[in-house]
Amino acid sequence: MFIDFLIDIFKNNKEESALIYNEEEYSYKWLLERFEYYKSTLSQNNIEPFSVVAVRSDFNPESVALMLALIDNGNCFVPISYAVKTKEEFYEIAEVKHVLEFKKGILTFTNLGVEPKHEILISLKNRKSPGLILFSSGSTGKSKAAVHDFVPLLEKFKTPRKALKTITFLLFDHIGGVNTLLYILSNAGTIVTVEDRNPENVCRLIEKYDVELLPTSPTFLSMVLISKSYEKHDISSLKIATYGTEAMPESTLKSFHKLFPNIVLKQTYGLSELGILRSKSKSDDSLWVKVGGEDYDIKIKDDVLYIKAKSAMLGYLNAPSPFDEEGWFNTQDKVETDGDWIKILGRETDIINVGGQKVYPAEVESVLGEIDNIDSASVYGVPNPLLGYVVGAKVSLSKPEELKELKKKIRIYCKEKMESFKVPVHIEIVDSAMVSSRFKKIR
Amino acid sequence: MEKSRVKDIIIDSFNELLETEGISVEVNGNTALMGSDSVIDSLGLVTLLVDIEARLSDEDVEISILSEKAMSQKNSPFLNIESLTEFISEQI
Repeated sequence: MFIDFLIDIFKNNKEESALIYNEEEYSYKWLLERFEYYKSTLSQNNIEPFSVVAVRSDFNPESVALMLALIDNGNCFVPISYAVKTKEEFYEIAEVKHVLEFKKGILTFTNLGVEPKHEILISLKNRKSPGLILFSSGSTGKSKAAVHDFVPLLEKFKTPRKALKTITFLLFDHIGGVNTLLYILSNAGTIVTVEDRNPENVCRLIEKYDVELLPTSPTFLSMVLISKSYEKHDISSLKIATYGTEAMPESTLKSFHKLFPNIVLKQTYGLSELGILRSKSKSDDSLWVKVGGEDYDIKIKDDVLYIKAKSAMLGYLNAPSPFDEEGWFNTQDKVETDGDWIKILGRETDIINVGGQKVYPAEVESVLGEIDNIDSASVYGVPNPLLGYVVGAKVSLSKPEELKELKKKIRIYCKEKMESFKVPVHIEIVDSAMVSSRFKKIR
Repeated sequence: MEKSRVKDIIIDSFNELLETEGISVEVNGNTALMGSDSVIDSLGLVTLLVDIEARLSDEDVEISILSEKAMSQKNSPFLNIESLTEFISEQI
């Protein structure tokens, strides 16, 4: 009942392609049938309406149909991709009752027997709304669980907009991924999913399926530029390329625009707590942008962007509410203003943004500290034309060691402990512990 | 600096990167650094380039490989080891 408007759209567009996955097309008719199938499977397996349900899966046509059935059943949906290493911890935080997982293509059910105790989850259940729990990285590097009410989230997709053939890398445990998926489905568009993000492969798929919209990152645009993949594949079907707020080198933007003057380049702005704001770039090669739209109010205080949203999350399950009494959310993003236009300069924090992935210096410093002969370490971001930033580290040693050997040792050790984008690329040996008299680390 | 020395530096650096990644492939001038035949991703490429810059700097050659010039070349210098050798040699 919650997604009747989507079902009507599916029924009116049965022959259209909804998803292209592994280069196979799945029509709206197929999606409708699988949605009905999962609806009856949920009821046969006693998945109570409005209970919290985690789905361990990656983005694929079956998991999309299952998600729609769960929303329709009023469940609080907790997507957990296979990339997540701490699933048990996430189940506990989200007070998950049922875990659904595809094993060799067959959906399995595990009842953890947990009932919601957190007031946000109880209120969601009492008002009989389906929910969505997304984990985002918090300022200490610990994941925060943001709870959304699906009803207002779905509301904004009821206004028909233009459907574009869209290619997506985004997983559905990410607000941008959920947003793209619902946008395309509610306008009977087509989503082309891609697992191999190699620029050559992506350009090949753009050509093969006449893709019109490419939500991407500055890093990816740079990779397209330097790989010249566009010479091997005709990507002239592209109408719009969108990019997030990670540091976009102005040179990349200008070079891309010069090569492809007909592709509209648009900066988007979104947060797991608030959803994706509507945005308008001043021009294709400009970082000046207007954000907002009918569902959002924005204000700038002390050069920091604050946002108030109609469909903001209800709150975190494991952290205090980030909203002030009037409902404003401090984005911690420093901005420059020019009339109505703003330019996003980045977070006020120490977070290093490596090709769109967040790195917390404290986490890397602590791993470096575990390495034999390293006394102390200070981690910082180093600007890089390809990735925006990469990780740099200054280390002080107990006894002298050859830099070459040290670099190798650090890389091997860090690779085992952390994702590769967190591993320091620049390494420098310094004399003293880099701690000032106020015991604050100097980065 | 001789072109052959530049190439040696690139190959040494690449081999060391592969060692830390636990990948074993035979490395020669045609080994791809990007694209579908490459065994490293964009982060690997950046790590490689930073390491090559550091090694060149040890021999008193200061250059920035990931420059706007590199991005705007007609043929990408990062295609394979041979093209990167050419590009760096031209910069020195």
